[in-house]
Amino acid sequence: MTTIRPFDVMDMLKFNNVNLDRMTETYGFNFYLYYLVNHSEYYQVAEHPNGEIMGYIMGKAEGRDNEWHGHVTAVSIAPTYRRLGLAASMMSFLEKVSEEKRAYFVDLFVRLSNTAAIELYTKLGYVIYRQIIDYYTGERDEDAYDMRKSLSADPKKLSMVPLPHPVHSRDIP
Amino acid sequence: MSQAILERRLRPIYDALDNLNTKKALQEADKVLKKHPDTAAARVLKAFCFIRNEKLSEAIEILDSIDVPGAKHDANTILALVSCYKEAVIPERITRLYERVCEVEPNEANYTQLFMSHVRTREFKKQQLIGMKLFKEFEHTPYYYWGVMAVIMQAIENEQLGKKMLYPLAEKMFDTQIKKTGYTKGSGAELELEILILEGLEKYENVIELLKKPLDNRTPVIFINQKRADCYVKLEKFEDLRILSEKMLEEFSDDWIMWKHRIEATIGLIKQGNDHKKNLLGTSRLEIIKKFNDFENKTIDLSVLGKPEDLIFDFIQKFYTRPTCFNDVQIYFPILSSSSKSSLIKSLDGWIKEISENDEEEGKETKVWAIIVYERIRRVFGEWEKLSKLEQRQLLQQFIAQIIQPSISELAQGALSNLASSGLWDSWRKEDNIEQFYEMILLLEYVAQHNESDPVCKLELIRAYAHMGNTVRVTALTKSLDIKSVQNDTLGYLSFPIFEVAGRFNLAIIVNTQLSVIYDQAEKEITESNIAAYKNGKFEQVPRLYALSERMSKSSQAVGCDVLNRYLSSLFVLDDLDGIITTCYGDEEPINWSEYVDNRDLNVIPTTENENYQTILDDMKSRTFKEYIDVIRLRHSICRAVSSVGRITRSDVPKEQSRKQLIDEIDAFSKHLEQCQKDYQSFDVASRLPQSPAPLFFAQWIHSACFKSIQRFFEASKKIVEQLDAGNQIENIESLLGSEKDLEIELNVLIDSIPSPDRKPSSTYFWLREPICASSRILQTLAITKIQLRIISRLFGSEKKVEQVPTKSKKNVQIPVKTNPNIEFINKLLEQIKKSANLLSEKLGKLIGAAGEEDLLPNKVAEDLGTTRLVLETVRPTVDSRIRRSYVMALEDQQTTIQSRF
Repeated sequence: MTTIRPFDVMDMLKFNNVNLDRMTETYGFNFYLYYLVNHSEYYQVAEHPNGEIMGYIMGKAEGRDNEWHGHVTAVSIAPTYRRLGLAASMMSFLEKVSEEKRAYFVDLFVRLSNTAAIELYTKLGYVIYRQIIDYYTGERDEDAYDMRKSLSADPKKLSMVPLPHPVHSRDIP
Repeated sequence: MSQAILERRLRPIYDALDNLNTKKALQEADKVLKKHPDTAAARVLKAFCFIRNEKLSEAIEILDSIDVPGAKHDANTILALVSCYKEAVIPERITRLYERVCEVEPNEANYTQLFMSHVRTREFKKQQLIGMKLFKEFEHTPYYYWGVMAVIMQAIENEQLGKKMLYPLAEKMFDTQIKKTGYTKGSGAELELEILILEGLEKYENVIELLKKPLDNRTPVIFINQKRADCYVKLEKFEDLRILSEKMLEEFSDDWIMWKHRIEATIGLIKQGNDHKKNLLGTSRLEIIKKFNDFENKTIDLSVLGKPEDLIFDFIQKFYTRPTCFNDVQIYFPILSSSSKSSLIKSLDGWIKEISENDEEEGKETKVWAIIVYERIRRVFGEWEKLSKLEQRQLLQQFIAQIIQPSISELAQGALSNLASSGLWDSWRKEDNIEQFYEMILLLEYVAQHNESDPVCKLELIRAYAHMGNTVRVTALTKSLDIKSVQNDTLGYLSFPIFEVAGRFNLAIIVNTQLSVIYDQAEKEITESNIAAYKNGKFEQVPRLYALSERMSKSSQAVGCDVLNRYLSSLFVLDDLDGIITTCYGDEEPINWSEYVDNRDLNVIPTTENENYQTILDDMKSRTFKEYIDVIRLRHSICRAVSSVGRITRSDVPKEQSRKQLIDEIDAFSKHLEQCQKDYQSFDVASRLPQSPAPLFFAQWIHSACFKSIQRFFEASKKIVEQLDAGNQIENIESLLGSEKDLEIELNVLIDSIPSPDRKPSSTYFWLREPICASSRILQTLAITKIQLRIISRLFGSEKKVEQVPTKSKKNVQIPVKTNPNIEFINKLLEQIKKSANLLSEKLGKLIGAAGEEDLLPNKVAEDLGTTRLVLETVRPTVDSRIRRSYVMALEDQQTTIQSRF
């Protein structure tokens, strides 16, 4: 059982069980609050009946013309609440919001080493559009895959045609 | 001068600042000012450099000369001034700046900035005035709504006036404008504002009507319906609630909040006399039983729903492979009677037997998850406590055997590790079994080494090491968990006091400084987000952002960091007596200790304890929070008392005020110490629960003799000031301060009380933790008394003369001019402190030698665990050496402090 609700500022004080996961980055206040005051419709929390945060998703709509798309900034589920299909359900939520905005596709970046996540996104219909060199920097430098899934505004799925070569992170806006 | 020229000149200063090279920025600013001394922006940027270098008074001097009434500034100068005020955290100066700017140039941009400056300072009335002024002058509707939002904030701030006057005013204002301009299509801003007003007025009917209109395309339907459901509950419209929740559940059958509403509707309808049977169908039966238990309506036959233990058992059979299975059923354990529990255990016994006999599909891990949920439930129901010691050890052995399986998933390994460590932690908590505590550390270290994704084993290790004083490993584990930003506030309790307890003062200051930065950042970032919320018309977020800002600024961790840093810096970093007095004094405003809030996330280590455990946790939470505030308050009162004596010698403090403060602050310190001594009688560590914060060893400190000489010197200070103020000569200072011999005996007794290799404490394993903590506190005493004596010396004349007393290593230093006999006497006491510090250093040296002793760590570990013992043995050498090394580092750090400070 899950309560799906909008993200609340106080959730930052109790999302440790989600964010202590090594694949989940913890950012400064401005990061979370930026999404809250700019893209709150893309910001959703799953809460267990016992009050624990099970996971959350945050994203935004960006780009112009046929690059107008929904972007998954973060989707993370606490270890205890995995295998429930929560990530898939939250991704579906974000896709719906993007559909309402007539976005062409939804995209996301994922660490190359995060095979479980890549597998999940592939199951959900995402394809590897391109590899981005040196996308992740810091404690664990790593490349990212940019994965994409076309929405109904892109019936020919042109957004999903993979690029033949990797691009460098400095070359993407 | 054109804007382009000015920007070109300022560019190198900005570049240096962007690269965090303040020194270069200062040089560049001076370069510009040498050629063009009238460049106000360069002067302000120079002030900015001063602020970054913590030279606030120099910065303010520059800023005061530029930011004057009537001055017309260019855009660069205004921007730089705002940056200065933000950096120095004086938002009220931003308001004053824009008030002045608006007088000279009353344009839309400046008034907007003035409005935002009021957002920063939380002046809602002024926000209202400026918002309405902006609207009148520039006829842009959003400004009007800024003004309305400001009225709502006033209503939230003043609940009584809010209901009577402010919300109705906001409603009237809103209605007037919405009639004229209507709702902005797709914006949702007006809708958010209107809902805030209607909810404030408790007009839920109107909220429902409003939510039916297609006015907002930025809030997902699911969230709009949740709000509608909340309104139906408030209005007790249970039939509407039933219809809505059923409709929502058709779309998303797992939506818990709608299930709850559905059940709430059922109960509400029954209470209103409706037929309940129809309504019970299709709802979560366990939740119904739970709710009806609370409802206590015995006239309703719930047997049709089945027995709760059977429902739980059915659920487990279906969903046991999900890691959340236990959490899902745990919330219903309170509705089980003891016979229901026995019945459930009986069913589970048969089920687990069956599962263990069946073949497992490869890679499915069904058996492991069955064991996990089974043993978790047995543990919660107290079945583990019924096991014999031998059976308990066999169970542990089985867990370890599973944990070390090469094919086990990290998720299952983490869950098993948590179960195994819970049992071992129990043995330590309830029976003081230190060998099993050490076994737990070895097991957790094994899991931490082999399991990259499980954070819980690392958290448990931090908690265990914080108890035994292994600062090195706590630091490494905290780093590997990448705890940062807001997590420093909510998880800071795991490690906050350990460096001070271990006498690693420099590290404590570094860690606390990093923690303190979070709060400055939080304040700035939350405020800027609030400004963005106004600009984007995200009015719903405005009150929440103010609430978050309040929560962060009133965090107990924030004040803890600040006080500990002032305290340790004064004692062990600063040399200049004036600097020490200023730092000890801190902010002018008194601290209201009752307003601090507990942001600790104490649920981060999961529990599998019985239902009474929550009461124990709640008790621990309130006790440790009180203790935390008390220890901070004690350090703060020491600082304030020290500075109050020092401020007697300050010409910038009015005489009457300084005398009053002297009496008040010393009395406040003594009273608080006395109160703490009464409140914290026990020497036991506050709590041994895995969820407890790192121990503060507060009772040990306040009941030690550490405060004897400190209190005597404070009392002497009061008398000396009184005598000097009365114009009397102090003939016999020894009677006030005590003799050199008295101090020697007192300090020697203190040092002698430290456990030593030939006089170990009763619990011998990890015993070095105790002398390390004791000597850390004695070092603090020595440092405080040294400062006290330096200040008292200053009461009699120049403190510099005291500082220039020749030492053995500086034989050529000129012997100072003979001072008055009181100063000479104080010098002797200072010499005694130095001697005692050296004595302490010698003792620390002996303790370093003991760090290699074999019996420091448990020797009989896991001997009865068969071959699984070998696994623990593999990690043992590293764990052993890290603990010993950590103790040695703490002892050496304290010796270094003695060498450099005494």
